[in-house]
Parts: sequence; structure tokens; C-alpha cells
Amino acid sequence: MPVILTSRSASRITGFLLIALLASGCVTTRVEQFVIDAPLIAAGESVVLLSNRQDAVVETEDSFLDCLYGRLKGMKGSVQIISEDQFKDELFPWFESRLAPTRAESVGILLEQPHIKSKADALGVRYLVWIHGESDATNKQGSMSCSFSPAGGGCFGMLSWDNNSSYEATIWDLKDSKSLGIISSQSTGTSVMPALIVPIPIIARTKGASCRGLGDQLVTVLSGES
Amino acid sequence: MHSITVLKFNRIYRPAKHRLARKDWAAGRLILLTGVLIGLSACGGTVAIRDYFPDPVVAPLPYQVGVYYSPEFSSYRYHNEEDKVNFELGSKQVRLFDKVFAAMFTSRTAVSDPDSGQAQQQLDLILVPVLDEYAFLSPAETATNFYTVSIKYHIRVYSADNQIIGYWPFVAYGKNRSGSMSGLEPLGDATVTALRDAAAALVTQFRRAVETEDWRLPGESKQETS
Repeated sequence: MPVILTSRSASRITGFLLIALLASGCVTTRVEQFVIDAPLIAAGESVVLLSNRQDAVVETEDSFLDCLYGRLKGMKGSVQIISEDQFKDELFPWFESRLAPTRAESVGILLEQPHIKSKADALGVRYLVWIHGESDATNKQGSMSCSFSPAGGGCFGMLSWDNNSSYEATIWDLKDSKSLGIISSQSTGTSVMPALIVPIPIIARTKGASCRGLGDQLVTVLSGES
Repeated sequence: MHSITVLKFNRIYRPAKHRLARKDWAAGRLILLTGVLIGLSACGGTVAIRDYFPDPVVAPLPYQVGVYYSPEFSSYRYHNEEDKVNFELGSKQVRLFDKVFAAMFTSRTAVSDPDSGQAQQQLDLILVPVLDEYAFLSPAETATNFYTVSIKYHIRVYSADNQIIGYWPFVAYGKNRSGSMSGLEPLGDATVTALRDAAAALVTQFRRAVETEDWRLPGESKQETS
């Protein structure tokens, strides 16, 4: 059944959607990096992004990995970025949680097995980037009530909460079986949602900010771009 | 299976302005009804489990093994009336075990039930995987954002003359973050993770057990592998 919208109501809805999309809370991001003399990656070498899934409590969201993957894909040159799924499938099951190496030195031992080494060599993998961390919402405050009736409806009240995103990337060099360093990114912000008939979410997008911060530093370290 | 209710409204003639208003309300009700149905469908239903598993990267052991999948194993279906969760697991686990055994040993052939006493062809071992229990915990039950799955298996090991010589139990685990609008899809992904964990246990711990004949006989107590 078609819903008939007048031009006035359509413009109201459009306006509301624009406000909801554009409104975002303030976010503070702190990135800690390490300095290297020269870009790590050479032409023809590959980088793998992996999430540390051995932690029983913290597990990095797939959406964060997708975001980081997208940023690294934008690197110049012929650097190939291999996704977690592809790498885990190619070396199945050695990077499943039960077997995944927990130290860079353990990768060297794993690669001593010829059939595993030949697979890794075929992919041209030089660096593993382990991502660990997650985003959460804390300190939820306020209240909101909504009611609807045949005559109409609406919501009244105010909600607020703190968004925190904390991630770190540990870079392992597979050639030398050693850890090169850790880059970390922490973003905090407060989201609010006032409602006067219609709730307007003003979200602090900390996960996106952390992705940008960590992604930019990884690009700098790997390729030398800034 | 959802039932479809056809709602009929009596036609009442009203002036044009009111007819428009009534149309809006009918459309609103339809949208609300659709939303409720979608919401209800997220509370239970069928879980889609991907049946793609990569070939394990493992050096084969010099054994010719026969594998028997019982009808209970190959057509296992999880059904829980309370949770209204229902899905087929049997064919997926057969596909996984087949891939793992094919990679682990120099040859793998399908054989008849060794307990039936029928003479088998010349083999080194006969393996019979048995599913003891499939269980999952929802995010609400664990107060986390994850679905967690555990699958309890044991492998019955027979000699070529159909004598049982070993019993190797293990538990596979998987977890996956739940999404707010993704229904039971995360449960399916957690189940796939658990199946992949089973493969990891087989190619490492079960392989070691085969090499060293570190079995226990049925009825003997020994700490289960996890």
C-alpha cells in the first residue's frame, strides 16, 4: 500500500534525517606510535591484518577490521593487504584461536614446517598486524519515555553515555620472526540523545576516529606515506 | 514456519480528506505489523551455517584409514523447542571431517559400520566420529555480547579387523559477537568457528594421538582434550 507524503512532511523527514546524519558528538583521539627510519614494506610484499581472538573478554569488531582494511587498501604502491578471512583460509587451521601463535617467535617455529612455509611464501606475506581492542559505551545516564496513541505520539527526555574505543596494532616481521612494535589508538567522546517528540541522536563516533588514527599511523609505518 | 493473516477492512465512504488520513493509518498499521513480524522472527528460527571449509594445510600421515559416519552423525539436526532454534549440522560436520581426514592421511575411504562386523578392506585404522553434544549460550545468558558454542565429540578408533582400540574425546569451541539486528546469524558464525576449532584439534592433537597411539579405551577416564 503506498504511503502518501505531502511535500511538507517529506521535507520535515529529510531535514530530520540530515540532522541525524550530520550531528555527531566531539571525539578526542590519542595515538601512540613508534618511529622507524624507513618504510617497512617493499614492492611485492604483503601485509596481513588479523584480530586477536584468543582473549576471552575482548574481541575486536569485524566492522573495525573492515574499516582498517579499507584504509590500508588505500596505500600507494604495489602493497597487497590480505584480509583475515583469506589468510586464515589459506593457512587453515594454523591461525584458528586454538593454534594461532601468541608470540612473534612462535611464527618462526610454525614456518619451519615446509608445507606451511610454502603457503605463506606463495602469499608473499612479510608482516602480520595483530589488532586487539574494542569499543564500548559506559556511564549511561538520563531517561527517555515514548508513547504512541491513535492521535499521535512522541518521545521526551534525554540520554547520554560515554563512548570509548581502545585498539592496538602489533606488527610482526615474519622474515625475522620478531615483533617490531605496537601502535595504539584511544578515542573517547560523549554521545547525547535529546528527545522532544522526535529523538535526535548525536553520536560520538569513537570507533571511526580510532580507525582513522590507527590506520593513518599504520600506513605511515608500512609505506612511509604521511 | 510463519502463518500469514489476511486483514480485511470494511470499506467506508468518507470525504476525500478523511480517506487520505485513513490510508495513512492503514499504511502505518501495515508498517507496524511488518516491524512486529520482523522483530518476532529475530527471537528464534533457522540458523544458516556456511558449509565451506578450506583444505587443511597439513603433511599427511602414512596411514590408510576408513571413515564411517553414522546416520545420527551425518543427519544431525539441532532443535530446541524452548529457544525455537532449529538447524541442520550433520552434513556440515561430515564435510569438515572428510576434508580433515583426507588431508591428514595418505588415503581415506568410506566404510560400513565397524560394529556391524562386516569385513573391511585392507586398512590401517577405521575412524568413527561421534557427536556427543552441541550446546550454545546466548548473549543474554552470559551477559556478554557473544554467542558461544561448544561441540563435544569423540572419535572411536578401530583396527582393520573391526576391534575397537581407542576412544579420543575432545571439545570444540566457537564464539561470535552478536549484532543488534542480525538475528541468529552470529550463532551460525559461532558454530562455524567451533567446527573450524574441531579441525584445529584434529590436525594437531588427534594427529599426535594417532602417531603415538595415545588412546584410551571406552570407559577409561582421562581428561578430555579441549
